[in-house]
Amino acid sequence: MDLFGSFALLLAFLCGLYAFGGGIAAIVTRRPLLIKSARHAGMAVCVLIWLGFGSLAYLFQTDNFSMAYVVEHSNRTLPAFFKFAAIWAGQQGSLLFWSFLLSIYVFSVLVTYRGKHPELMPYVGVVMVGVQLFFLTLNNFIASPFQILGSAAPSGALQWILRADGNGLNPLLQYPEMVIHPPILYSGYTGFTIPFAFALAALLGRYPGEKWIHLTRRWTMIAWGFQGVGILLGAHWAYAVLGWGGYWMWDPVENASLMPWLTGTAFLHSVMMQEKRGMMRVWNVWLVFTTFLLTIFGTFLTRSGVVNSVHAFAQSSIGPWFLSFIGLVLLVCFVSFWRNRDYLRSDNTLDSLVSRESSFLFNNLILLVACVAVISGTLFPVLSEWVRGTKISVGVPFFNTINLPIGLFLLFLTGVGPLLAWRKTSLASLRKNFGGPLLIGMVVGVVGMALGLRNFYVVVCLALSVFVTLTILLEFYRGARVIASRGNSNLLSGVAQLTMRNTRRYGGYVVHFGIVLIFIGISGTAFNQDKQADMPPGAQMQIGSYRLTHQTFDSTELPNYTSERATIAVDRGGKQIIMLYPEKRFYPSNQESGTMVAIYSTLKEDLYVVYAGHSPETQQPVIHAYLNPLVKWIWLGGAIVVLGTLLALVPNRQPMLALRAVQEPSRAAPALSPAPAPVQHYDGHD
Amino acid sequence: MIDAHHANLPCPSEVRAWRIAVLILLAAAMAAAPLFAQAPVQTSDRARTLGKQLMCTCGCGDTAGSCSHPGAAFSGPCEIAKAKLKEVDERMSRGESDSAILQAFVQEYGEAALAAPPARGFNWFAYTFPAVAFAIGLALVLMVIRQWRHRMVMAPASGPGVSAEMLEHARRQIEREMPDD
Repeated sequence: MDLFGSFALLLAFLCGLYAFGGGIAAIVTRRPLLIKSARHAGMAVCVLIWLGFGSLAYLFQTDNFSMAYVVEHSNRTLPAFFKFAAIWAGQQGSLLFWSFLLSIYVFSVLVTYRGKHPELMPYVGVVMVGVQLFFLTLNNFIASPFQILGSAAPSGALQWILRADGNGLNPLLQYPEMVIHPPILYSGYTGFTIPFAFALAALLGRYPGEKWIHLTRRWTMIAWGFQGVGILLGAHWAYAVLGWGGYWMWDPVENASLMPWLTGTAFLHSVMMQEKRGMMRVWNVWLVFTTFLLTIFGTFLTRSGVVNSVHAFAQSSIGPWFLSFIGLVLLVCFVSFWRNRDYLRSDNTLDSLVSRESSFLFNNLILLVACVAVISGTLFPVLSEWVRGTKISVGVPFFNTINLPIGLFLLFLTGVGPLLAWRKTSLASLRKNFGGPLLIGMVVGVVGMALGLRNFYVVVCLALSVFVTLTILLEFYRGARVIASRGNSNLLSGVAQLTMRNTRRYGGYVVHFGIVLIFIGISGTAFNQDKQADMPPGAQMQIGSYRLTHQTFDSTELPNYTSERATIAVDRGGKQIIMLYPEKRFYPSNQESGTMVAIYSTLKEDLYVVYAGHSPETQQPVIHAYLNPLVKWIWLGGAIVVLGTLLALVPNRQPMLALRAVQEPSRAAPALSPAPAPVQHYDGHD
Repeated sequence: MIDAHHANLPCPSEVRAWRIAVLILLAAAMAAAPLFAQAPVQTSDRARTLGKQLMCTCGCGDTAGSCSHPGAAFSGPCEIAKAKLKEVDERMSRGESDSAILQAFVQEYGEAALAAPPARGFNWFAYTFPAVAFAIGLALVLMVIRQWRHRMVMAPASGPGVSAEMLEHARRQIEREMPDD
């Protein structure tokens, strides 16, 4: 099976070369047969990558310890689903996993647009296969997961080695979320290849109009959605596993995932300008290019060891390959842009400074500044060492100082932007849309301060959250009221109809509301408390309004690990509310430990309890308890962002309803039926 | 457009609904206030608070005040973090100020000892770069806006007059009729 996988990947590489070369030849000669042949070769590349990935999964499931990669990341007692997750636990497997996910996207695109857009698709195919070829080069020649263990026999000949067992999987990865977090995040990273391919293809082929934007809208949203969910799942994993009481550390790997999400968010907004007004063509193309380049750059950061990271499970000397690829892509993008820049000329003008258009410009500016702040903070230690020869650390305090005001300004724009009309917004409209929400937001901020809220950022965040929520609710209410009054239905039905008539717009509002909840959750960090104490059975600890009593302590030996577990009774106001079981696990295969945090989560706060192990000094069990307000709002907000994204992906229902309204009565009783009711058309701002 | 539909005045029941909504919102904010009124960071140890401004060097990527030493047998502060916190404690008991203690760590271990680089010299670059990027971006945005507005003024008025609304309507019509694949 190892040879099969290796052979499949090599064949995929060769097919990729053919698809790439054949694709370019097809573009030059415009021979239909060659176009078809290149497309089929592109599809074959995908199928072969799936076979290669499948064979690696098989090697893990069958405990093939003659494979170096399997030995390094698995062992016999590892549960089957963690054996699957072990595929992406290291450098080689995660790169193959990247190729695998990318191939799913590429195959889907090739099948979806088979026989469509003949002027565009050959270019798209070439770009996609070009990206695949880079990763296949790594999979085959630089970081192959199919290396066999061997050693020199006394005779000098090479002999295979079959190990009895493997080293096991990193305990930090032995957590259910780690089975789904990397696939989802990688689906985001790889998904941005599709809008990139279409943007570059449209530029190279001088494909007219905004069609490529329409074609890639859903692909971009899917990639963006995956990226966002992947980031949140990563944060949740860090919260539940690392046992430090937090969810975001501004670690380089976390930052690497945030950067393309920020530029992707900017693109999702500014692309509307191009769709509606034919503006910002140059900007959008470069935003897509930048987003794609940041996905590769993030991978480079994760793997190259350029910056230190607690998450970097796979570091090697692979960095120069990524840097070269980034350089090559940048060169191709720049040359393509320079040669075809006249094709990107905007065909519209700005009527007013106070308009949706200018709000998008500011939204993009702030999102890009946020991205720049994250990049500069992440790379500053490297720059400092390079320029001054002095090592410095850039940790949480730095990133919070820089990013908090940027984030809050972005939150403000989240409320303002969507309610400004295209072209021009009158003063009366501004007053009507924002007057009430702004006033109430300010009142809530003042009330908060009067009641003891002293942290400036938290006050601003609270006021802005109320403001943005009200603007969103108002927008739903006004539209639904119009529909309800015309159709004699209730307000709730009006909201449903309104949403389904313009899913993109109202899905976007739902996403914005989710973001508000995430901001509220983050603001809770300002009030975190924690306590650590030796707690032999019977000992008690008070944190906030909770009293923790260590009742018993037990130890269990399982095939894959040994567990030490504390039983903690939690009571509040003399009433027991829950039993918590924080756990410490020891994995003998790799001699490492892991924590299983116990969390009592409410909308108000999380009681987060870590059993830290035995104190090296006193040999007593140590309990570390945290009281983290509002954390649940972050996960709730994330779920609402997903809901909004899914909603925005649903096609609008209005055209279908309009057709029925005209056709059905006339078919049923043409002679007697009254004149068809006029089609109700609610026309929104976007 | 939606504005046209909203021109009619709200009925009394709507006004009442609005008032109720505002009251509910204010009540919710007041109910949530005690949560925010909790005292910030209740760590009894002042050293641990200051330790959150010092990097731990065990590889956890966290600060000395919050090191949880992932992967190790004991998930408390590691030996390195403990040593740093102990030193902070000793200096505090000698009456040194927080800034003097941080400065002492910088002299002993270099600037890498701090979780955030001190805002001086070359480090200013890190703090000001996002602001500079914002300023440059803002200038560019304003330039683009000016260019777009200038183009509008300069656009020749040829052919029959077509209002912005008509153009927008036509654009929407095209969008609706175009297959969204």
